[in-house]
Amino acid sequence: MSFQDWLLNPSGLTPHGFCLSWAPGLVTLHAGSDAVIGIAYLSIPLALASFVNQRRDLQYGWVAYLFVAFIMACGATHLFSILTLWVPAYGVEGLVKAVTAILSIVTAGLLWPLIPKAVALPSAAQLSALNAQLRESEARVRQANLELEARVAERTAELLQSNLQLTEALAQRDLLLREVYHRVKNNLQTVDGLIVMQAQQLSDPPAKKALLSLRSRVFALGLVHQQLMGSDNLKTFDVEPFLRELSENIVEGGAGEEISLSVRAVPLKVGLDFAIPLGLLVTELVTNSLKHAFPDRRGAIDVILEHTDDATVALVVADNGGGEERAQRPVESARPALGTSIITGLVAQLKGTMEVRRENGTRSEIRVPAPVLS
Amino acid sequence: MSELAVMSDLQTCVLVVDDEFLIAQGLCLQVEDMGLPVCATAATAEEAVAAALEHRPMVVLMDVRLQGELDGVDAALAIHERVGSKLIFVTGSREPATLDRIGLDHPSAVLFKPVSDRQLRMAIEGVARG
Repeated sequence: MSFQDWLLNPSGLTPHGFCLSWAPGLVTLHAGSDAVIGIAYLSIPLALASFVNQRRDLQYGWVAYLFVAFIMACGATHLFSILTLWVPAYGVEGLVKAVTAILSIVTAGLLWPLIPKAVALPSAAQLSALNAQLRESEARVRQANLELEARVAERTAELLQSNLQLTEALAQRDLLLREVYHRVKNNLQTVDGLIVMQAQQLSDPPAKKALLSLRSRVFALGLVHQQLMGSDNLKTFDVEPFLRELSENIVEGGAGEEISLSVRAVPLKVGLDFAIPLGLLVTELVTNSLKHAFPDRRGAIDVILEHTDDATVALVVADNGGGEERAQRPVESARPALGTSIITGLVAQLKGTMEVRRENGTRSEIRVPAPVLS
Repeated sequence: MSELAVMSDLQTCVLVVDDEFLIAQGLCLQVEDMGLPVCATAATAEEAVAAALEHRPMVVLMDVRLQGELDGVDAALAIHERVGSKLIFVTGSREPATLDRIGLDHPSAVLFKPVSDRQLRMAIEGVARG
């Protein structure tokens, strides 16, 4: 018997309708039912496949394809049942059933282990609850964001306001400081006027001279305030123009035209606390040179301010006149001269040291810590 | 100071304007020490203008802040226009506002208090040179 005969017409077998004695009712019932089941079993997996195909996000979608194959195979067995009513193709029918059996047992076998996993998947209800929660917290975040922005705007406005107040206060402070400096300068001018008037009254030349040397000290104080008033921050100013104006004023005010002055200073910002003793020291030293160094009223004076290192500055006042003659003068007397006391005291106040050398004139060098500006 | 004498019909003298007596006195003595006469002192803008009209001084030393409504700049503008004196401002202030106001008058010089003899002499000599 050939394989084809085994498939379609094994010898000695009758079609299934023969078993039903070809009773028209039974044949029709079996054939009709099998046809309807077969068609339905083809339709259901097609619908299922279409659904799975469109819902690509489904977890375990491959199980659905197993169902599709298994149900279609079932449908095929029913259609072959119709065929075997009239044709004894039991070989084909058996093979189709065998395929169906394999698909169904595989599906059944794979389905059980899958159940706990499928159960663990969140349900649509859970998902929509979760979604609702998400939306709610999203709304809360949005609300918080809005509140935050409002607070930022409020805070920014407050900051701007206080900034404005600070600027105003600062302007007020500048105004006040300028007013104070103005008054200080006016008072110094009054003091200067008083000294000039008093000097006018005196006939004793040394007394007159002493009073007039006071004027240059008062002038030094006034000049500091003048520099402060002209500075941007009202607290510090550059030392060079100050030293130049100060020295020029003493030299040109106290001597003939034959004395030349050179002023050299490194760029250095100084405040009141440093500038006043510095200015008074320069006043004393330059005045000393003018008084003692040049009997013939001619010579040169150098005023120098330089850094000796990062933390120290040196003020040098040097002249090229009669140093040796001066050295022979008695330096120590019962009571030190006012200028000497002022110099010693101010050097100590600035925590500095002073060294005087007398060769080809007199050279005073005062080293003090560089001013620290707050 | 011989240069001053050759200038126009103005008198070789100085008018000192300051509302503080001691400052005015001090400035007068400083001017006189230079060998220049002081024709008058004034404490207000009105007094200053009147004194300038009367004495026709070559140079006016003018304070900025004065007693009364008007200040030194007002007085200076009037004197400059009606008399033609050279104006030297003597001020305690270096405020930009004050300096701007002084600038209105195209002053011959601006001195800041306290004023040394040298500064005053240089300013007056500068004025004399024109």
